Amino acid sequence: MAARTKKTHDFAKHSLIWFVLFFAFFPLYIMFEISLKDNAQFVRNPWFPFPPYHWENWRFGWQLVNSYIANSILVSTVAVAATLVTALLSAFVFARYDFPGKTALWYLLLGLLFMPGIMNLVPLFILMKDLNLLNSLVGLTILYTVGGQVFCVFVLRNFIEDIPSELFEAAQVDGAGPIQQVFRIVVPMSGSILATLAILRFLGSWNNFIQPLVFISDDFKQLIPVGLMRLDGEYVKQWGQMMAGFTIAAIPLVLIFLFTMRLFVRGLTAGAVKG
Amino acid sequence: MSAKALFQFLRRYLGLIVLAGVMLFAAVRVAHNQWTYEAPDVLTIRLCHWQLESGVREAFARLMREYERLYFKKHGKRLRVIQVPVSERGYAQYVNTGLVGNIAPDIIEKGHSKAAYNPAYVARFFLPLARYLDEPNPYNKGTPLEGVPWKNTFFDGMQGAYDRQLLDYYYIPFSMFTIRIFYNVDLYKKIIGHRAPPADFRAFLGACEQIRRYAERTGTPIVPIAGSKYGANVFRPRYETPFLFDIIRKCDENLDGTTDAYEAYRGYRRGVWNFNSPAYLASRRCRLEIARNFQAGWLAALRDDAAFMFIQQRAVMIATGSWDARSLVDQVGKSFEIGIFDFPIPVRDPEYGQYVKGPLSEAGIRGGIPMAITKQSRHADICIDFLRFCTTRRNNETWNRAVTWLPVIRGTRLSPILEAFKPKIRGYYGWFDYRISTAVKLKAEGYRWSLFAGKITPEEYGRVIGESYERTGAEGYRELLHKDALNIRNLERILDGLTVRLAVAPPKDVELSRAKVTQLLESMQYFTFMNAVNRKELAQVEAVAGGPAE
Repeated sequence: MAARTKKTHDFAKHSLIWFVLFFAFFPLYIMFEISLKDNAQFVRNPWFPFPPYHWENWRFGWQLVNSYIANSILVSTVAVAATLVTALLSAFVFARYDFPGKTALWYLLLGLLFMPGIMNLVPLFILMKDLNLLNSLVGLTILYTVGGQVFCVFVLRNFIEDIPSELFEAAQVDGAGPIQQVFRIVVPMSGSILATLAILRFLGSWNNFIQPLVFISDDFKQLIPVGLMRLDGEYVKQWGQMMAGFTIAAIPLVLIFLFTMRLFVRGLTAGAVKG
Repeated sequence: MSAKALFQFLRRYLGLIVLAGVMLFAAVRVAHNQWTYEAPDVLTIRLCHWQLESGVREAFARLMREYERLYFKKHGKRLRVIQVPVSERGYAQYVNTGLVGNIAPDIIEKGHSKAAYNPAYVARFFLPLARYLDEPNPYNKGTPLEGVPWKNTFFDGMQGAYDRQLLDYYYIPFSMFTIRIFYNVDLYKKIIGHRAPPADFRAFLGACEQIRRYAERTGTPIVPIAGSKYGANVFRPRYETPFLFDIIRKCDENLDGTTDAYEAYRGYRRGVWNFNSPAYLASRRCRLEIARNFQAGWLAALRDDAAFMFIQQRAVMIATGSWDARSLVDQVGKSFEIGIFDFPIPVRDPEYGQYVKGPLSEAGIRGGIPMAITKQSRHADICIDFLRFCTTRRNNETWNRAVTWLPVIRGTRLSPILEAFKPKIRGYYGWFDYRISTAVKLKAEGYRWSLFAGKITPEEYGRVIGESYERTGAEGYRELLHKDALNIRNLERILDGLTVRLAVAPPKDVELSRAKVTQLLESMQYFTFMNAVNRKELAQVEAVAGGPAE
């Protein structure tokens, strides 16, 4: 009886999981199988792949999106690295040192978390214009770096505060300066949270639409979200080529998740259990 | 290293290796782009447009590469002309942010953005071209157009491109466009029994009826016309303005062949027309009859959805412009034969004929794909030269043949498929603008789709818009007068600037500057006079109609 109940429960659980997975993977499947069709095949049967397979769509799709992908990878990766380095140093200062106005500064910083990004768009545009950073990948990288600071500092400060202070004191006794403490104690102990933040920031930068749209004007400097939107603007769409472009554009993110999934999950659950 | 050690190494560092590889690819690609487009010894000209139709980008690219080679041959310097195709829905934002941020492309296709139409913005951001247009196009050397002023090499002498408020030319057109109905000849013949397009409006409705019946009888998902909001707007001028020629004639006080918002309002107050005048009502009924032949749910369909329906033979006809000819022909391939015919106007129609004098003439057609040079451009001289290169007889013809559009340079030949798109001069010219206030504009736009959705009748539509017109018309009229007064003030400022420029102009430019001052003075006189007339006429109309409308 108990075995049958367990089987029923398992079946329900598995069905639910399959149901969720179906909805998660269905768009990816559709995107992939349409990428192998021409328009006539797409209209005849949009659901299943059938020959002839138009692999040349992928060649065309690659030509369409490879510049966008390269720009996105470069900007996102450099921005993530810069964000983490600067946020880690700031968080370390907030976590380990007392200085006048620390609390006020902290709350001021937290206040920024509640400010919708879109509200800053016009002042940011004027600022970027004055700094001669419009239509520049460097400008966009700086923007992404700055944009990720507050959240990362907020998360990292709490994490660093949880590291036993004896470790830092021992390092000080051994002659380690603040930078050495950060790289010898904080970094090794917060690998998972750093990886999680890196992934979150990378996703944020990769998917950011409004900033590249507003700040970048040259097509060869454009990033993937805006580039894909422009592919969608065709009057008579070549669905196969477009879907090939979309599929290629999704590959870097899939790769990143493939290699960092473990770290990501570990980071999300870090600190969940005290003890 | 043993295989096991290698496996362990890969297992451990695969992610890092992939990341390094991807970063290397990204860095190389970005560096390559920088080298191609922004190397110190490369001059770069950027041109943005929203023409994403099939073949346009390739045609631009061919012209650009040819010009780059020519430039290198002439000057020994590397030049890159790059195009930035932007979809229509983001075009205005793209242009506006570019112009405001001083990062706009050198050449911009004028349109969509307020900056492209509002004289204040046009004057601020775009280069006036009159002085270049008066000179011959050097690329016409050795052709029949040699020595002819550049503007006279265009089909209309650039009349359509002249800005009557700023008294200058601000763009160079590449093509011209007309609208027609495309039809699937094979399908049409199979259903109707012959391939000849409908001879008149009744035959057109009859053909639509036959197609509907065929679809019902055979269970085939075919509709007579592929519809969308965009498509409905294509039908509109052909089945609205011809119904209003009589009203236009009666309201047209300054005899320019059109009825502007002032004249329309005064005509309305005098009782010449209202939104439920028989002719107006008939035009709405006529368009409703046509819209019944669109597919179910067409109000939610986009332009490309309708095109796709036609390509996939789920619609026998589609109304669109010559700009879509190439896209449709390319997409259809050998699947079926495409025919093109002009909109059948109900001139002798038993129901509508009494209101329709004749078709709308295409004599007043203007050049399209208007390319303007931004004042921010650091290479305006090269931009001018590039546009001259593009508008020689040979290059304009080649470019337009490649995209299957109508060329704008005199003596150019058309692609055979475009014969049906040749502008038809015969017919009536006219325009009726009733949009006196923002409220009326919004109501008319919003309720139009309710009308087509069958939520309201043509009479109800007329009543709703009429109420809004009655309520906000007088205020809108005064608002328009105020805007005109502001425009006149702007012209005064421009006049001041021109007068100063005339005083310091080098001898070679004196003639041109003097001509401009004279033209501007005449123009100001005209606008001031019209403003006074419009003020006075309103007072007279209100006196006759028994006091100002509330």
